Amino acid sequence: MLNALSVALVAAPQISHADVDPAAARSADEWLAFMNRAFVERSYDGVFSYFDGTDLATLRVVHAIVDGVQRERLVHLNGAPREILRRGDDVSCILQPGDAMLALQESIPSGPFARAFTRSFEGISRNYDMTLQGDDRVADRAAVVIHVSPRDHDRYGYRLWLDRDKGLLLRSELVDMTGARLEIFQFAHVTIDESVDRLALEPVSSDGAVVNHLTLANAPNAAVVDHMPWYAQWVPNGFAMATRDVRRAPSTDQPVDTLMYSDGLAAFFGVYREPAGNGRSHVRVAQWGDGCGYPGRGRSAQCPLSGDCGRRTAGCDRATCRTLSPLFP
Amino acid sequence: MSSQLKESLSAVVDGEADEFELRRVLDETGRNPELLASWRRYHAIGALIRGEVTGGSSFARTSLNRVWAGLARGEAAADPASGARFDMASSSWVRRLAGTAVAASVALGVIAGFGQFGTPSGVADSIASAVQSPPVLTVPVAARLDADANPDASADAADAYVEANDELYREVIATAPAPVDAEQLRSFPSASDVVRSQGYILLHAHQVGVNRPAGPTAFVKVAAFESR
Repeated sequence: MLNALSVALVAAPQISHADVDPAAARSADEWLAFMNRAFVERSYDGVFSYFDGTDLATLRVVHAIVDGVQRERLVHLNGAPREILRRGDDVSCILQPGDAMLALQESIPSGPFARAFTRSFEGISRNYDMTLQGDDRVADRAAVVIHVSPRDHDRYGYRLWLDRDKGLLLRSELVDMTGARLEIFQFAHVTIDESVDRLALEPVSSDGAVVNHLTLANAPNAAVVDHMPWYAQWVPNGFAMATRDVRRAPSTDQPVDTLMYSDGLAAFFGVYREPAGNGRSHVRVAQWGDGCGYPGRGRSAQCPLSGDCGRRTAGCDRATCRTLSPLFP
Repeated sequence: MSSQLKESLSAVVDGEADEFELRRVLDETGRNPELLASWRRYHAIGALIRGEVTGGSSFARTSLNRVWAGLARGEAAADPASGARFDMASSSWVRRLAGTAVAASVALGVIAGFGQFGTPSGVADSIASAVQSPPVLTVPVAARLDADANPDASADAADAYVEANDELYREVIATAPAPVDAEQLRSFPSASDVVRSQGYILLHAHQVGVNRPAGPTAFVKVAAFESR
């Protein structure tokens, strides 16, 4: 009995330490899960900066659960006044007249967009190593640092700073294989789990504003999916198909097939198939943070690619375009 | 001069050297005549391209005006033989010296005329010819590259200078991009390719946002999108 008591007395401080500071007991995986829950469940109101590799933007985000419904408003604070509103599963983008994005959206398929078949992908650990890297401080809040390191060159890595108490993402860096930062997100100021003014969740009304609804409430139509006549023969290691879709570009009314692939974390890799036209290059012509665009040129169709993926993956666009094959002979 | 020292000098000229490297280069120029000469050449060329060199001559200013006028028109170099054109403004070597993108062949054409011809009219003619029909970089150019370049110097002196500094010109030729043929030119992206690529990047940002959990990063790329 004495031995058992001794064991209990020795063990008790460790157990009580974990109860007092659950943060100390969490693994990197658990911290990521904590972060995802914080995004959805907590109320927060903050101003943050977003660096996309070439330019710096400032935005405000307000998030709260109102009458059981998730509400969020994202406001672009410099340049073109844009707002992204979320009410439950419905997401809409509000643009003002004269916004350059309006003209660009005329040439590409518009929303709403299909959600992924499933939002939980197994095997993230097959593609990434996740490690805790100590503590830091962001926006005057204590933070835990996590590195999410890719195991190959087909994807980028991440450095994450999570609020030590609430789990909310305070800062993130997207890094390439050399450690160079492609994107940076960082709160300058944020309040978490304090009351949120409901008016802060409502858009600023203005005449002539254009509202684009971005989401479908339901999963993609299975019949549409089964009859997609093509697929990509090559995709990067660890990527699986996430969505399939067919829509039309407003300006041309041409159908554009879409395949989206994900490796389960944040990387998506998109292949779009449109009728053969004037696209004439495999050369990467657009780079924005982690996203890159290739006009693409296939045998019987144009196959633009866009991806949040490593440079080596993006460089394999030629193989993907050339080997696109019909599902049936 | 060792290749490492050359690399360090290049880094200093590019403005990319750290303090340690800068100190090393500065220290070496005091006891390495070859390094000092290279340093002077790089800065002399850069000064000329940037319009900081006049040598008391109005023709230097005229020549630079023609260079910048050519740039404003978006002129690219052309291979007189094939007619294939290539954009020399991306030449890292000249961009390094000028501190900005410069049509290298145009600038070198200026340098070619600036020391080779002894008369003002000769200089003006040579510069005008260089701007309108830029030479292919494989043609050796003769120039006086001192900061106090004298446009009245003889061609013989210019040739002698070239022979003494042929390493510089070999570097120019080695780092200049080769002319592209018509097939390569056809594979270059068109303006519509660029617009479509930007459009699909935006589309991609929409789809990624839809498939991420709520949070500031889900749609940040859509909200902050800027056409480029």
